[in-house]
Amino acid sequence: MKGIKDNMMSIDGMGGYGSYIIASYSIVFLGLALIWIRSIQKAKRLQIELREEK
Amino acid sequence: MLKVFCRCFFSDLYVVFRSTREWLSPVLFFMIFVALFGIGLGFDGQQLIQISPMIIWVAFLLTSLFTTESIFRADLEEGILEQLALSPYPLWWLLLAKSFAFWIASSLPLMLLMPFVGIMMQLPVKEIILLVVTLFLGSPAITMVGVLGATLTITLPRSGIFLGILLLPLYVPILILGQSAIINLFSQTLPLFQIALLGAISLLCITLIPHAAAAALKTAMNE
Amino acid sequence: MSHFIQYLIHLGTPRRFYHFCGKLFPWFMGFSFIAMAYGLIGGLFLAPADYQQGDGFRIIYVHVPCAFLSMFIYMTMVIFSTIFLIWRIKLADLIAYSIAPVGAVFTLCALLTGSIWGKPMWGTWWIWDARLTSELILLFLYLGYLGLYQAITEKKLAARMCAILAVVGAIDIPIIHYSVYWWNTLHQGATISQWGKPAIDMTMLKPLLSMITGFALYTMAISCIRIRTEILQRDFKLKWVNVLVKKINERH
Repeated sequence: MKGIKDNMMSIDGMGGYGSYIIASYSIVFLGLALIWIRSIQKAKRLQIELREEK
Repeated sequence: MLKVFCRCFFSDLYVVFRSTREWLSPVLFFMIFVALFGIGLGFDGQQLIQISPMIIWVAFLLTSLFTTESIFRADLEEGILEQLALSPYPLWWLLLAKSFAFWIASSLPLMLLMPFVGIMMQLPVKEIILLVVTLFLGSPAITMVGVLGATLTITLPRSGIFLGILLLPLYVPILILGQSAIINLFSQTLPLFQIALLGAISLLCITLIPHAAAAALKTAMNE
Repeated sequence: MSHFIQYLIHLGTPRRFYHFCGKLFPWFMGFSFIAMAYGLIGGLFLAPADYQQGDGFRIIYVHVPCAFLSMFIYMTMVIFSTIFLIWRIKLADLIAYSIAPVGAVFTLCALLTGSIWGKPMWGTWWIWDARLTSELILLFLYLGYLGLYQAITEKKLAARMCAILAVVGAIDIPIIHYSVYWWNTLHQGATISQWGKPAIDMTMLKPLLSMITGFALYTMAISCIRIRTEILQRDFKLKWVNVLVKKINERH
């Protein structure tokens, strides 16, 4: 377990694939965050619109 | 029923061929596309022969995309489509007649040009014949799919390349089948399986798509 | 069974579905977080390095969920689109339209992560094999669906046209997948594309399933938000929305 943790510290750790892994995981979590932010933004904007209207 | 089909068919055909510009521009587009590739690859004759059947197929697809936009344009403006939707005859039958006329107007000139284009791209005679056969069998599918795309985007003022995005997923299987049929240039066996499959897909499109397109058109006209 | 259908019919009005989604949302988010946490820890730390691919295979813990979800969301869209076309239930079209952007993002992520996975594993960023080609075409289908929906101004018409498009696409994707696969095997003889999923064992599989479940639950949670927003938007002028807004205003 400790060996793996040490390995992961360097960006090129994980047997040399570190950068690829970080790139792909960050793309996906960026995507998830993007979906989240856009959905919440849309909901908030609509809420404001509704409350101003009524 | 048959008389209505013939009337619709011939009147559409007459409308298209009456204005020279309308049926000539796709032909010219096709020729320019192919010529540019020929000029670009011309010096390496071997490479040209290898790729040219595929280039011709892609040129054919792009030209179809180019012309599909205008299938219903004039008719929509003149209110003919509303009348067709209201007529006692089934809409899908009339759409089939229109599509047939469109196929003759758009695909037939290109196929007649195939021998010349083939010679331009230095293809052997057997390959040219194969090209004509595969295009002949594949073009009804391409036309019908284009008709479906046109009915889906009928209310959009200028569908343009967006129609391309819609039609690309639908063109891809036809393209792959066509390419696989002509890819083996110097093989001895005839790609009967691919040719049969192309014909089957075209038949399927001809029978099924008019109904879907008619349903879409009716919904659009009712708005 | 009939109880279940009765319950579904009871839910079928926008107002009730709005409140239903509101109640489900925290559960989806909570379980999604738990599933993804287990999947990440298991995938990144606990699972042993693969015999053939070394540590690089860990990318599948995000790539496979994205790819799976992209297709799963599209299938859900198609199911709801057919429900809309056959039974004209407007809520069905609403659900399909709400989840479409999520599916598009997942498809894009699947393509990008697949590309990043391919480079160290098999040497190229891209290859026109069956799975990647059909994934790319799926992206076009999503973009076409969303574009058409927003381009057609008459929204009732847009709903029907896009539903037809979704169903046609559903027939199209398997055809493309099979034809590219068949053409590649024809072309390359017996060499099947190497970009298939590797054979996988239990310690590697459990985090993967957990990640897939986590992503799916996340999708459902986000869909709750999106569906609620869309319901409010479409029912903007209706009385129940007025009542709801009054209640929220009173609380503040």
